[in-house]
Amino acid sequence: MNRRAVARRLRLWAALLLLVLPSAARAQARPVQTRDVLFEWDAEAKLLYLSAGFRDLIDPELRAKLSRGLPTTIVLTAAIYRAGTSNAPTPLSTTAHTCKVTWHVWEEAYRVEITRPGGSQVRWTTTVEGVLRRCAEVRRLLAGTAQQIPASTALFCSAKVQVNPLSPEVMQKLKLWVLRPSGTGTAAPSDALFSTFTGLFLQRVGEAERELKFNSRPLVPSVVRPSAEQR
Amino acid sequence: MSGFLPASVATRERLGRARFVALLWGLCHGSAAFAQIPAVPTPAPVGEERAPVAPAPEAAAARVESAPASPAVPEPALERLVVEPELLPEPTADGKHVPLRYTLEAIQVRGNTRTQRRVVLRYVPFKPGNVFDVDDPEVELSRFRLLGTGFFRDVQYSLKKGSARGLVVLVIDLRERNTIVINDVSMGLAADSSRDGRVQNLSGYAGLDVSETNLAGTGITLGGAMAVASHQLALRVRFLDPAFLGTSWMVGGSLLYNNALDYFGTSNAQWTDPGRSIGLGSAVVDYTRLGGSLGVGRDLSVSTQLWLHYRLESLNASYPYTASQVRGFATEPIDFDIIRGRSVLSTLRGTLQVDTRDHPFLPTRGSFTTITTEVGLLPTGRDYDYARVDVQTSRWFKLPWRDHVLRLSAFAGAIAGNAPFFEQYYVGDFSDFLPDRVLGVTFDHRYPKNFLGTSIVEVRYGKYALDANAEYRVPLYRGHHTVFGIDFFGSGGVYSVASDRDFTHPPRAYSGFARFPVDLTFNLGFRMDTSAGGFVFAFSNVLGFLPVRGQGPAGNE
Repeated sequence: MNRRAVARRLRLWAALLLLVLPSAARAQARPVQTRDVLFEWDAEAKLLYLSAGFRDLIDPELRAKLSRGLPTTIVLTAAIYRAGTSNAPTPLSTTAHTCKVTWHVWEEAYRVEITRPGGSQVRWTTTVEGVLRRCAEVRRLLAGTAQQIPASTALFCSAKVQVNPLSPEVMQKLKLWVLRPSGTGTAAPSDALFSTFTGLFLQRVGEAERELKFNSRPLVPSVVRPSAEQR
Repeated sequence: MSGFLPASVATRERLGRARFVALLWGLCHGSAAFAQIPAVPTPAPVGEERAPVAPAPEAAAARVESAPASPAVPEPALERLVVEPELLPEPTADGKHVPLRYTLEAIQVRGNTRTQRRVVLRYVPFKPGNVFDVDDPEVELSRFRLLGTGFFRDVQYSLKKGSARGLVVLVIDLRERNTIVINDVSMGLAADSSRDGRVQNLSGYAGLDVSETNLAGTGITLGGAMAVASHQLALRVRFLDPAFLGTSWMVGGSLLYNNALDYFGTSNAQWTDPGRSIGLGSAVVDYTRLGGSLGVGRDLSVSTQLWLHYRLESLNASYPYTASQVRGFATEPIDFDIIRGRSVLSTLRGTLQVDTRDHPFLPTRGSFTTITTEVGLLPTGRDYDYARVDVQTSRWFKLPWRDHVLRLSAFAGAIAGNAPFFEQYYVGDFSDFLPDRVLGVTFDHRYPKNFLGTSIVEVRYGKYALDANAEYRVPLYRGHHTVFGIDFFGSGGVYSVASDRDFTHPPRAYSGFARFPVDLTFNLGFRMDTSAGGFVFAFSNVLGFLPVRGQGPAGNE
């Protein structure tokens, strides 16, 4: 192969890369949704509450799975920021809401275990609507205290909702197993196209069965219980 | 039976008070919901703590909240939702709620049109009669195990009522997928080097490796591979039974056929063949390999696997009766390291593999270590009596900045005895500027690049090999559809391939450090993890076609 042929080949590679990389970069930029949330400030207790809804995350497939008799966990984690801060702001506070739903096959009812700041509670309901009301909406979720949240300040939250998230320990165990599945050996990890099924599977698993990330619009919390001074 | 444990006396007293307060509240506010709190169920006898217990159906009907009457009715705040305290499972000593448990009556497998039921159940650790805890992490893990086999597009678990209260049937719904996978595709250009370092005699080669991983639904893998080039052909057929006779032992085997050529003589080679008189250039070995291997393996842990293989091959080789090359400045005979005519190769190989990587194609942490030992077995094949030990290890580190990844790798191998040349270390397997062997066939016959100006350029095959390599990877893209990840990588390393003669009689044209057959290798390119598989676009192989003048074998100068 002469120099001209090599140069031609290199130019072809460069052209291919130029075609591939920009489209990849475009695909990477996934916009985070913007959603309305409600901030409420209990001036008497000096506590900030967050209310939000994400029913759209529970699609028909997930709704059907709620009745399978095995737990489905829906986790909301949110960080509260002061509005108008720089690109990488420090959160003023964080909060979480976990909902574990298990269909009791003999009672024919959903056992809903809710964990939020302050403790956990168990509820029972017979309907999917009852489950969604508790698990796909959060109401007055404790999100901060007066020590964390400055008064009368515009806030926004950055939230992530995950359905059946996998703990890092389980994920690690899973990846180990998938790499070398006991009693399969269907393909060696060194094989070039090993990803055709195991890598693809790992990518599908991800960190959760469903995931939703959203930011709220900046909002000054509404005062729901004025303090004695305000009254 | 159900997951409820009997309420304690204290709980019953507490619930009794709750009923009283709720009754008063209901009377005052006209609410019917709070007045529906039923009586506390009678505690079960002591000793049933681990057994699932179900409350009576008629009581259960009253215990659950009904659907809201109208969507227009404002929903109560969470703190004011109706509480059915009698349905709270008994808290354990540490205050956590007791999980739901049933007795597993049966396991039902659905949707497996090809995959046999016993193959599915191999990955399910539950048996009828077991207590089934819905919160047991093994439930979800076993589902992932089934997905990880690659036999199924989707796996879903669900429970349904059994024949009696407290009994459940575990239903496994499967959606099978295409299980024919392409393991490897290779193609490239093979070349020779002229005396001035230019590339000549280009010819194409191609290879394909395909497997059916779930043969007739048995979970057995049957695969085939082929590599072709001008006047060369390599074929493989292999199988793997991951659960031989239902045990935890794996059995694998392969059949091979190679009809190939190999090229000896790095510079000024001359050979004599009665049929073709005297020739110049590479001395060609025309050989065939026909045979196979059979092995047993076992998982020692989730990351460790041990294999033992027996291999038997019939070899048939022809090559020039006399051949010589200029090694250094001295003309020396070429040792082809294979018996002329028919011979038998019989070996026993043990492989221990420890794999803790977190990803098959773009790992960020963990390690991958392989130790292989192979010995020629004299009783069945006395032609090749040798022993070989290879140790290879790689470790990945996620760096603290921008998810960059560093990989450090090392390889050491040694052969004692008269191993055939195709079992020896080939310089192209270590230099990124030459193509690797495909199915044991060496298509390329250039000498390696020689950045350090050492005697590495005189070496093609060796009985000792060392390699130390580092790779730096920069993630460029992470996605969830079609293309899962693209990383740019740059790697570099130092390697050495040598024979006994390089130690006892180093080539005379080299002195000092140059006498050691050591050189550098570099590579850079992109690793892409896609839904069609993992691909490496590397540039070193292309750069390998650029001539490196003045660094060829000393005998060419």
